[in-house]
Amino acid sequence: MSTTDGATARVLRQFDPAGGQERSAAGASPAVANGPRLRVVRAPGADRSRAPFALLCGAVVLGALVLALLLNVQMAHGSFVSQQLEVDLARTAQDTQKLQSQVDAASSPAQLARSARELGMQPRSSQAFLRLADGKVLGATKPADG
Amino acid sequence: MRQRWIAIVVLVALLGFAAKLVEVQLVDGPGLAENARMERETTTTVPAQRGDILDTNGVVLATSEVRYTVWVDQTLVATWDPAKDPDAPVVDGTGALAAARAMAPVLDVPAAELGAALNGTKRYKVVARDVLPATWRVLQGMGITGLGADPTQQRVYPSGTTAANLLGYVNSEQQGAGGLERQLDATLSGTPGSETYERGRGGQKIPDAGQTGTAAVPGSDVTTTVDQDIQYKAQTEADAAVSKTGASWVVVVVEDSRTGAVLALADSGTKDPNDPSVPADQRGSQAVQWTFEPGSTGKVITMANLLEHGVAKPTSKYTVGYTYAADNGEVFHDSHEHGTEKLTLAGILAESSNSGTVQAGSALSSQAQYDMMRKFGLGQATGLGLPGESSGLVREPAAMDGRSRYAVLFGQALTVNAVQVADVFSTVANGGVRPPAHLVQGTTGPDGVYHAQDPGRSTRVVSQKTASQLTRMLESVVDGEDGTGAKAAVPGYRVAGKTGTAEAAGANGSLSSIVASFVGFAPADDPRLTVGVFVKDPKSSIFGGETAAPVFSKVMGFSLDDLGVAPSGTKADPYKTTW
Repeated sequence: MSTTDGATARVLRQFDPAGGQERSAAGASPAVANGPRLRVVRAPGADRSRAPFALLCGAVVLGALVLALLLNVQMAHGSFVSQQLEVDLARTAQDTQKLQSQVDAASSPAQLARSARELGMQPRSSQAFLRLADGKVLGATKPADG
Repeated sequence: MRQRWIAIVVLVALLGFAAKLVEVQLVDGPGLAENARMERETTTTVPAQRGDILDTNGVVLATSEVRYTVWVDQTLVATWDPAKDPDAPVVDGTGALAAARAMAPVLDVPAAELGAALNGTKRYKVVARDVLPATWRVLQGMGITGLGADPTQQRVYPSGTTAANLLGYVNSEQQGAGGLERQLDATLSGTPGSETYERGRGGQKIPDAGQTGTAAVPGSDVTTTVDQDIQYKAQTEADAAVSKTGASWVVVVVEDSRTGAVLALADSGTKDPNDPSVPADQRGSQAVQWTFEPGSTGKVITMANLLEHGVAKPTSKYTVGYTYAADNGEVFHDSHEHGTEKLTLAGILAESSNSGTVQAGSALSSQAQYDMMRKFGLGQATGLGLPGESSGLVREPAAMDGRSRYAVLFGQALTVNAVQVADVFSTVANGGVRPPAHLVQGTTGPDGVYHAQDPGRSTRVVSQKTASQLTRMLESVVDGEDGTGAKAAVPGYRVAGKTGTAEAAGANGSLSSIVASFVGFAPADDPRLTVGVFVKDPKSSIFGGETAAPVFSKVMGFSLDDLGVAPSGTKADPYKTTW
């Protein structure tokens, strides 16, 4: 650009308003008609910078990478949460099993008989039946021993 | 100039790095990755949940619970330092010693013994077996490096000794080793699965890596015909009878007379299956394995034979002496000395006269008696299918000697098991039709659908008329004034049954052993249950009417009560026993 600037400047310097004025003593238009033709030239040094576009591309790429990273982190986190839940589920199942086992043992006839005896209960010796057809009472009832 | 040389050196170095990178990543890469993956990857067997064994009402008799086998990697334990981990328990020292101190109170094992197990260079050493899940969780929370556990199952019997003789037990591989556990092992054990996954240092699964495997198929639950309460009562009374009579053992059978479902099959002195110290030879069942001479309860078959073939009637008259000489010269005598008595057939049965039975039974051919015994199911499998069960021995007529030919009439010279005898009485109770004895009611698959099991076929043995007459005769045994089974009476109910005293083979092979029994059914007018009590070598008395009949009374009374069977309120109408 600097060489063209100098050339333009040299052209401008050659275009001498004073000389032009002398030659145009007779009139103004001959100075314009005899000078070099002018063209509109684009302003130098005003070329668009590529940087913003490049930055935008970089940002998109970076954003995609970060997003992928976040997704992966989330998936891994989800796996660990699910694993933890499975562990909790298994533990609850084990606790349920243990409690069920305790209930079964406590309700076994041997244990019930023991508990009943400790409470002072006696086994029933017989039971009577009421026949609804004729209202007859069958069987004998006796007070329990002891 | 120097600049250029530096540039060349740097370039060569960079090229060298690049070449090495290419070699590691592209050439060796896949191979190294594969090695690493194989190191991470592990395949475990997923054990199948063993099915439960339930009683007829759905009560759990046997079930499997999760336990843990705790192991250590001894090389890793040595590196443990509790001081560095704020969550670790506060113990002195580091490594195996500290771990032993920390774990000892939880596992209830002396720290020194535990320390010996933790010390060493093994990568895998089992420290404790059958650890409860709650205990393992505590150990896990300590954060001891190198400590791990594999889940296993332990078979638990919540009822303790009740029905233990029937249930059997499992070995350390959770396979049935006796009783129902062994008989139904194929149904109870499912199919194990497998799981292949990649694991990290601490043993946790790496979630993103692939996971393959097959699911385990759990075993099916089995519903038996056993009634837990009746089984408990039968076992309790059997134990009481042993202490009361000084017997070697007592066996009690409770059977549904109409369907053949076995509600109880009890042994005295049953051991607790949850106790691992009980040796295998004490986990058997006499109720299942024992065969013995039925003795007087065998007279029922003779009577049935006489009635069925029209040879005699319940009121047929006989003159019965203390002894009777058969056609071939063999002489038989009764248990009590007595003078000549005028007894009807019903009277011979009620007083359990051997000589009278031989006298009446001589009218039957040996073949006819053999055929009738086989029709009643003697000498054949009961259909229960329990391991160790024997079918007993009934000799063909050609193989019998002169004495045996008549002895079988009163239940000697043949062997039976307890359930076979119960089946004989159930046949009489069930109008002459022998029901199929069975222990398994049905199975429930992993899908939760219940499938009833076909119990088998019933067999017509004698006519309804014969069965009714025989029932009436058997009521005299309990109800009549001369009956030997008076102690078997159940207040309020009509009971039919027969006492028995048999000489059995003793340890030295001679007839030195005694089997005293009472087998019967109730209510006699609409039979529901058959109960058999067998007492081996009672010391207080040799008679079934004294030793076995009281047990029958208690067990039958309890069972009728438990099932809500109402008495009919009618009275027995026995045949005349004398003429």
